[in-house]
Amino acid sequence: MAEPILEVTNLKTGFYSKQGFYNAIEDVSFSVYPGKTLGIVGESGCGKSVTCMSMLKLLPEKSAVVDSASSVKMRGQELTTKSRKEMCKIRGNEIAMIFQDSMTSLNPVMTIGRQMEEPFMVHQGMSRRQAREKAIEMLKKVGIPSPEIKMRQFPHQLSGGQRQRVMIAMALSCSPEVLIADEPTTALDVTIQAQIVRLMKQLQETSGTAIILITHDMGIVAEMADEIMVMYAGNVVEKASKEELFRNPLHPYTKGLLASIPSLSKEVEKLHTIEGVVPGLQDMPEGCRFCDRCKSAMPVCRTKNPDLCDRDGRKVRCFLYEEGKGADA
Amino acid sequence: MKRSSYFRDVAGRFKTHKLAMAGMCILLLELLLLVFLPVVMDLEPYEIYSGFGASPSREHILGTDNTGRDLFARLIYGGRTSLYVGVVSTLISFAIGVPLGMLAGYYRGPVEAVIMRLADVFMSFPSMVFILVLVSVLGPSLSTATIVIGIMGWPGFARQLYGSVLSVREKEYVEAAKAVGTKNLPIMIRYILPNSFAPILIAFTFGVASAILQESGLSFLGMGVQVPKASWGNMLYAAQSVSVIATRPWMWVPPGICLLVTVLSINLFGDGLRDALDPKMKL
Amino acid sequence: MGKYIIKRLLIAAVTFFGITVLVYILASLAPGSPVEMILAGTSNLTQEDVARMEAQMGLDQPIYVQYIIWLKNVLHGNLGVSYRTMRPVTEMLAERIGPTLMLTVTALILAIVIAVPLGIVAAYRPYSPWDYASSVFSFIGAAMPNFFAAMILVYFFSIKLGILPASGMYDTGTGESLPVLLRHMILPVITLMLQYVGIYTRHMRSSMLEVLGDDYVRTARAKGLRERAVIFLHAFRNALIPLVTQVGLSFSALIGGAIITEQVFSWPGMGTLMVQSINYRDYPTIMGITVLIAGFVLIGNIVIDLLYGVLDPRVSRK
Repeated sequence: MAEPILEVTNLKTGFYSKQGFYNAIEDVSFSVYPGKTLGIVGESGCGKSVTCMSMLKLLPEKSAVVDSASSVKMRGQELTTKSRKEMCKIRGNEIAMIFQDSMTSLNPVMTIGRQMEEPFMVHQGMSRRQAREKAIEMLKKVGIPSPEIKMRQFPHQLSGGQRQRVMIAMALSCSPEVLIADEPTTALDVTIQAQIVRLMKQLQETSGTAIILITHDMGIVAEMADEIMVMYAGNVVEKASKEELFRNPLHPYTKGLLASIPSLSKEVEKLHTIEGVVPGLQDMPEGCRFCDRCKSAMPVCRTKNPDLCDRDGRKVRCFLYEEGKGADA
Repeated sequence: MKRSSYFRDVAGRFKTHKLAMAGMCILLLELLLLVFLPVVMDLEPYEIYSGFGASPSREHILGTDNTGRDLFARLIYGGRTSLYVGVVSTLISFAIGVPLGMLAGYYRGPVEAVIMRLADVFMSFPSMVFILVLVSVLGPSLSTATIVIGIMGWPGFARQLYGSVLSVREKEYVEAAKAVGTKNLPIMIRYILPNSFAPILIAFTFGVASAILQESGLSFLGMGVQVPKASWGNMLYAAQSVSVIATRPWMWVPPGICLLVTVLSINLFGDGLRDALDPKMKL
Repeated sequence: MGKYIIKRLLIAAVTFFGITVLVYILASLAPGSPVEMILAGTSNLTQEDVARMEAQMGLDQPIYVQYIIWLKNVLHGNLGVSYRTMRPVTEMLAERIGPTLMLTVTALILAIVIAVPLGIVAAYRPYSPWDYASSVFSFIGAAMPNFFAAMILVYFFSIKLGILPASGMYDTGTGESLPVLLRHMILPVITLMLQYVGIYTRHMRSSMLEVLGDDYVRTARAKGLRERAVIFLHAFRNALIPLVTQVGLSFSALIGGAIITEQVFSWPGMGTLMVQSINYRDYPTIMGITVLIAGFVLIGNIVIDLLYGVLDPRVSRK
């Protein structure tokens, strides 16, 4: 495999709240390769977004703390120690981001044009006129009809799909090496979802951008990802290539996620669900964070959180697969 | 059971609000002073002593006014007047606003249009001007001030209630009550009123503060409480000439400070109450 | 946009109409007939004289007819004749509008200009000493009766320091010049605006705080915009929208404050005229002032509505 473009090791982020300090994510490590897509999946509240926001230092400085032992390396340069000013040069330029809700993620009182021009003006020092031309070009690229007119309109005058296309165009303006897509299709209709996924794949093929795709939709991951990282309650619980993960999920949580995808080929009485909810930061269980909802939980699971360990070249965090601790599955 | 724990929660949240607690303590202290000081110190606000316009002395802590009345006694009785006008006129606003707001919210249609339009008229027009017009018709006095300020305050309550009713009336339990044929009035009283309790209590608190300010303003213009009755506003009215401001600060500083502290305390109390009653509601 | 403006104008017209009805009813409830007021002091008045005068003035008509006649006159700019001065009310008001507008508009603009940056700074560094100072200031501002504030200002600046005049618009005998006028305006304007600086600062702070947590602000940061650009290009305009509502809501209280402030500083505006007229039960003047103020408040509200349309594209293009 080629050199990773982005390497995250031991990322750990905590928040101060009225009740005290809590870690939201711990021990998160992964690499992203050019032209490849890493899917990060998990239920809401499992730390997917916090992971990406921490990488870009987009969390509020007063309440969020990224642990000093964490490392985020972009082509060898460390991002965690960068100043705010330096981060501004990276955001939107080398690493760009697309957000979930395009209605609220675009400024309601600014024209599409103004918002589209900004990345060019900030990162490439273009004049407004140059930026305008580039912006129109980008809008054409993402398939927006009559972009000249759309440039003068406000976000609320566009459809949801169009707005998400604008978000994508805006993120790809400066041809970033890494694109973080945080639930890019969740707020859209199913048919539009497919269009957006197709658009992202097609753009990735031409530009070679690495994509980090955050989603809770296993269908989208199946469509787009090369590698999948499953997160649960702030931990990485399993990491594998898409094919391996879908063929043979190891972690009980991953199994649960996959079992909850409705299938047309198999007739089932009832859709599978994982009982319970993700625990809040304040009431993390003592041992494995999934033990309260896990069907295969053993006594040891309640006392200690397992480490992420290698198994046949993939990674899983579960005592079922830890040597000498439990039986093989 | 549920009710008592709700109030315990509210009280718990209120106690953590330091400024609100301070406001409440000041108000309680003030109430005690206003009630008991006249008895303890044998204060006579209307008696005319020999030697008018006297400086503070042992017999008259704050001196006497231009007619020879004891200014400290008047300060205390003025406080009674302020609180009286504040509370009574807010009660009047409440008595007018709550039923109107409920009617508007419950019946909708033309009733709603007329009432809410009227509330807009009242809200968008300077209440001080309306109050002055009313005073010119009724003649200035304590009761005029109370009634007039009370009348002008209704739209606040009406809007508050209107909003609550709109949000409550669509709830399942109201629908259910309607479905089993409960009449309109019982529905309003049994279901809608209790749900509007918190916002109304908050509106009431702030209403008292603003009524006190309005009374003092009105009295300061000479259009409110008339001498010999004392009010903080008319004490300042009597002291507004430049020579009094310059040479006899005891005539105007104490009532001014009292007004400021009272209104400030009520506002702080109300702020704490709002945070305690509804943690989600902000500013 | 056009439809939106027409709708707002219609609402304003209805409100204006409502106010005139209310005021007319109130004034007609006043004891004593206008004729007696006008002829007060004239000796040997007979019943017939009074009746003749009343018929002449249309006072024998039913009240709604009187109201319509009055409204027609008002719309033609005829507000009647003052009982007190016997001069046309329109003429008296014309002299008084300028001074009052001078005070209120200056105070309002200054309050906004001061409060907006204060609020932004407070929001950008919440819970800093600066933020606490501004919230203490606004709490006191909201609780301070403005006449008391005025007296304190007079005490320090006019009496102790002797640097600013405590009453009137001009000094007696020195003629009317702009520097003199500006000096006279300082204390009344400060008095009038104090409270609003506090209120607006708090509003600006809270709406800025809210906006800074919005998704599009996150988008702007993710684009690599500097914090200053994020605040002034993206957050600022959105945060102004709720402030505009607040400014609109404060018009009426501002007029109330102006009446009191004018009284303290003997400012020859509509407020002092109002107080004098009430003392004399000069109803034509009282009603004239009321109608005029209603007009101003409504114009103010329309301006606010227009501002809304400019600031928030979602309002006007719905």
